Amino acid sequence: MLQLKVLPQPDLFLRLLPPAAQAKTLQILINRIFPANTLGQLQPLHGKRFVFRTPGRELNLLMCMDSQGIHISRDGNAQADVTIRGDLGALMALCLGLEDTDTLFFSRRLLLTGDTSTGLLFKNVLANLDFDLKSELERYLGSRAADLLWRMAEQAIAAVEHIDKRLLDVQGSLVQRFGLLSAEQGRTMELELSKLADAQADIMRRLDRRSRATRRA
Amino acid sequence: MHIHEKQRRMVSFGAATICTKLVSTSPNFLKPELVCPAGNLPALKAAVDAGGDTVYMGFRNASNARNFEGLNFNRDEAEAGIAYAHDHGARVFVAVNTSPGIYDASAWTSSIDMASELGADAIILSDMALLGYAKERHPRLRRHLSVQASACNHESLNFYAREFGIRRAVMPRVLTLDAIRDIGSRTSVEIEIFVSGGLCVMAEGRCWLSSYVTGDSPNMRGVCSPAHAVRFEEQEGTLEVKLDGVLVNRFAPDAPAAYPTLCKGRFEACGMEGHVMEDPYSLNALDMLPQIFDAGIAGLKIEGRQRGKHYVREVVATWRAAVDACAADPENYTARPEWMARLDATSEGGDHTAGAYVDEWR
Repeated sequence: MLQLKVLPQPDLFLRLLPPAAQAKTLQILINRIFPANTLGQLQPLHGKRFVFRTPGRELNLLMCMDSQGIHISRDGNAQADVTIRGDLGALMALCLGLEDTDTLFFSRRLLLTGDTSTGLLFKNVLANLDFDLKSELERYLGSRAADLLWRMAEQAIAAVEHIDKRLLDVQGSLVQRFGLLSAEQGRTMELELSKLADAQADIMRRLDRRSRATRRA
Repeated sequence: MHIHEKQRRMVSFGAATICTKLVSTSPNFLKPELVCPAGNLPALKAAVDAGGDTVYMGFRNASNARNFEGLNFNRDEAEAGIAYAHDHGARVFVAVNTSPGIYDASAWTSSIDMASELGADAIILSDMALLGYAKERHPRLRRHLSVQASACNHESLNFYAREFGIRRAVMPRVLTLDAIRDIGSRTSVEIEIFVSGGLCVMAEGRCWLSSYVTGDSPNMRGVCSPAHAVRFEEQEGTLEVKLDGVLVNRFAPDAPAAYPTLCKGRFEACGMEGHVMEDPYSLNALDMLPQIFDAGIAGLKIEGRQRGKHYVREVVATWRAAVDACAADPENYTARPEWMARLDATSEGGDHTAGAYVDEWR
């Protein structure tokens, strides 16, 4: 069974995105992955506000749900009913039902603060979704591509589980071999991307001003 | 084939006893039945798929001892779950094992009615009024005595059998395995014991610690440390757990956390500081399987209806492998390290104990 713990840095792809794009990307992914017929089961959570936060605040997002779907914004410092802190693997495991959340809590990978009743409801409503990630991947990617992806994941898991105690070494060698980013490199890259995004926004503002000035002229 | 001591005794008791026992239990009676937790439909399917003989579940109200927000089954989910289990050759027990208050028992009696209507294989009860109701209204539905009844001796089991026709009893986790074997030898009631999962102070049905602090207990509301009273707060990596404003535990950064129950809190008492009531370990009786087989235990119960499908699948698959290995060759059976590691990895406290089954447990 696919377990995100074996993926060395599951938040890598998010780190490569400018912060402004993270929330939108997650919202699209989650709404695509969750089958439409399960959204009705989230009804008890409508109107509740959940903040997701990774330990270093690389991710700091606000999530709300309504009948239209799941909405994610970057307003991670907003007032929330529940704040859910964990590494991205743990947060995705919680949302997609990929791992037992009590196990994540015991090992301190996941913590819910705020209104514990709402937090427990959130956990149990998600756990009750009869949700099969492989089927959803098939729906989204087609059966052949999903099967290939799944088998690759299973093979990777089998390999990684076999050398579980050396996981960090494997990560290190993967980073060297394939040029993937370490956690520190990821943070640096995010900072650089953030500066680029700010610079881009600044250029857009100037272009917009110039455009308005041109129109006025 | 391995024949347990109890089965040999049954043969000596005569044909009537043999008939009652064999008809009333699963086809797997030569090895104990694996009774697995399900707090929702995905967990039920995981338990069945992983090799559970039987699944136990509750309805979404205060009638069972895991009445947590969003947990348990509504009617449609229960119907689907029972159908899934039966289609795959597994049985379903329904727990209605709390006590109604003094004004309105309708949630409890309607739960019993629903279990019967949906075709549950047995109902797990603790309250005498409800046992009487089930016996009168649904005489064909098997009645099991819940651990919440705290029946600790054979006289008690025989009383419940005589008055309410119980066929099986779940033993409180205060008894040694020798004591359980002795009780089993003095009753025709089948014996079921917990073998895996979370522990508490083992005064099931009589524990009022949660009620003392929060006003709610497992006995009547079905919740120990209800979520409305629990607050987790983290400051610089140190996790503090409060129950209705009372600090009950503090975990250093990266130290394993435990459930926010009063019995597993850390306190200063009698010059000691620490877990004065209960260590946050999980029960694991894998090491004792040959003795458990030999004691003629009918059911091996796995705790954890509050856990998700991944926990259920992992734990049930591990126990399935162990029970089958012990049944195949009990004399050479040993609990494999990888089984222990798999259970420890998902358990509260990350460690295990044989609990009261061995004498040295405190």
